[in-house]
Amino acid sequence: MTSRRLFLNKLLTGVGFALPFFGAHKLLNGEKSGYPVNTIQKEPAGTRIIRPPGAVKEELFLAGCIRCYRCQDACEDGAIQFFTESSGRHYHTPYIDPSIKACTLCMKCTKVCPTNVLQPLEEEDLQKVRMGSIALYRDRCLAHKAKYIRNEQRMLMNLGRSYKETGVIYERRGPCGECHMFCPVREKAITLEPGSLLAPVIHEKHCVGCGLCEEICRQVVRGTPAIVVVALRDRGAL
Amino acid sequence: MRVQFRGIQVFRRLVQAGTVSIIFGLFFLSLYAHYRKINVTGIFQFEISPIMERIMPWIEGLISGMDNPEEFLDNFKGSLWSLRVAGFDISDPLGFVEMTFASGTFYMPMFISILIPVVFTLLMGRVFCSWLCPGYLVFELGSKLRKLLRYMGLKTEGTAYSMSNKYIFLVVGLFAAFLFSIPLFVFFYPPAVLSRIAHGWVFSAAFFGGLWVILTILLFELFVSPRWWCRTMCPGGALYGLLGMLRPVKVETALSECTHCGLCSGVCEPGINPVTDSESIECDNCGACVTHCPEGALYYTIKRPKFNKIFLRT
Repeated sequence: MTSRRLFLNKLLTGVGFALPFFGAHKLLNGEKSGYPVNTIQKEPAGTRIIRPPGAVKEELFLAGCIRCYRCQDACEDGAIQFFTESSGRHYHTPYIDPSIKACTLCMKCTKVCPTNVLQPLEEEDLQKVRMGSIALYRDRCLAHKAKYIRNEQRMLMNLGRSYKETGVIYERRGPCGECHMFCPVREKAITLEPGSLLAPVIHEKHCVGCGLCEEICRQVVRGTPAIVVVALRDRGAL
Repeated sequence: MRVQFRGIQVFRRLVQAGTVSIIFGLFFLSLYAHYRKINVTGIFQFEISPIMERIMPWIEGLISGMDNPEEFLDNFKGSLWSLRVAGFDISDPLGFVEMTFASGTFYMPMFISILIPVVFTLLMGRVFCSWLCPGYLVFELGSKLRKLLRYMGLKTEGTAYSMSNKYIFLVVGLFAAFLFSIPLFVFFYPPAVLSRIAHGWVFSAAFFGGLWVILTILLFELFVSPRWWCRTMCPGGALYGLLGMLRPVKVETALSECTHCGLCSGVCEPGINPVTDSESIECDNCGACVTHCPEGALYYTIKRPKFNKIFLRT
């Protein structure tokens, strides 16, 4: 009896002592830096559909595809994967997941497709491919983070305070520009901001949606990529 | 003309084994093409499956003398559902019909790609079923297993359904494909399913993808109705039967030599009586009756089609 009461007492005291520290930690890091907290969550896995290049519109694709798996045979980059039985009517149809492997627009799958749901494109028409669009989350992008922190530090120092007050000084950041380097339509879909930090700016109307930027961003950021392919076709719209 | 080759069952088994090995061989060639693309440094940095390790020296020996191995590897791709061999595109007629009904478009290159099987079927009947289809091979082995089970004393049902069910199923399935604009046979047509399973095994993507379809049919055939799928349900068999309705190559009986022992209808794979119904739409020219006739009364021949004998009179 007494031991239980003692135990509960100690537990509550411990929690009571610990709580302010947790709270203080949040206050110190979150509130002090004016860093914008991202509210856009990454869409749940498997809800976006990115078809191989040259795919016709979704309704016709599901009707015409005879599920022969020849596009995967032809895809020597190993980018093409197939939906499983849990995906309903999308079962056995090809898709590309840029978080695993991105498309390099070699167009070999379009040449072997027997039913023309992947339509072959000429070399100069590759910019017309629309597998998806692109979205940039600036709070995860290393270059944008670096730029933000530099601006904040400059502001603090102009106010006569220490630059160490930003609180985000130890975050991973720096000049990168890898997405720009990997983009097949670079200088159109992704351009770099002037300056030495190589911060990317995206132009959605030129993006082919291949996902090479997402693949390399995952490697560089070491976690959730800052630049992700957004599907133009999703599961509900048909 | 009387073509009578008693070893035709052994020959058919060899052709079936060849088909299975061609399916796996095409997948291994595709996989090798992938490895070749990756292996620019000459040293593999990743694990290869043990089967691929054994097969790779053969493929390397095969393409070593060629001046353009990439083109060779590009020309051997696909599965039984739709493939490319030596530069020729070949597709399944059922796939073409399904795609045409579901999408409502006529695609000329695919129509050209089904011409080779269609011409073969017009001349020889449903030979795709009995000589090439891997599903047919699996279900034949299932019927052997069924015989073994019966021999061991297990009681199995012997229900026989109407053979015209498959034509109804074909029409209903195509109408459903047109209605819902999605091809439906592709999910359970055994050659396509088995090709995909083999693809999954070779590319180590999935082990059980669609295997439940084959297992369900196999269990139904073991315990309820012998050779249920091929005889009464298969839409591909129905399409091939309709195409090969007026085939010139047929099995015929010399009635003067026949002793009416009934052995041929026991071994017949499509389950008809070869003496009376060998010219019908159901015969798939497998040649089991030709091999098993003790008198040698059955033989292959070339005849003009007779319209009154096409449909079974039951």
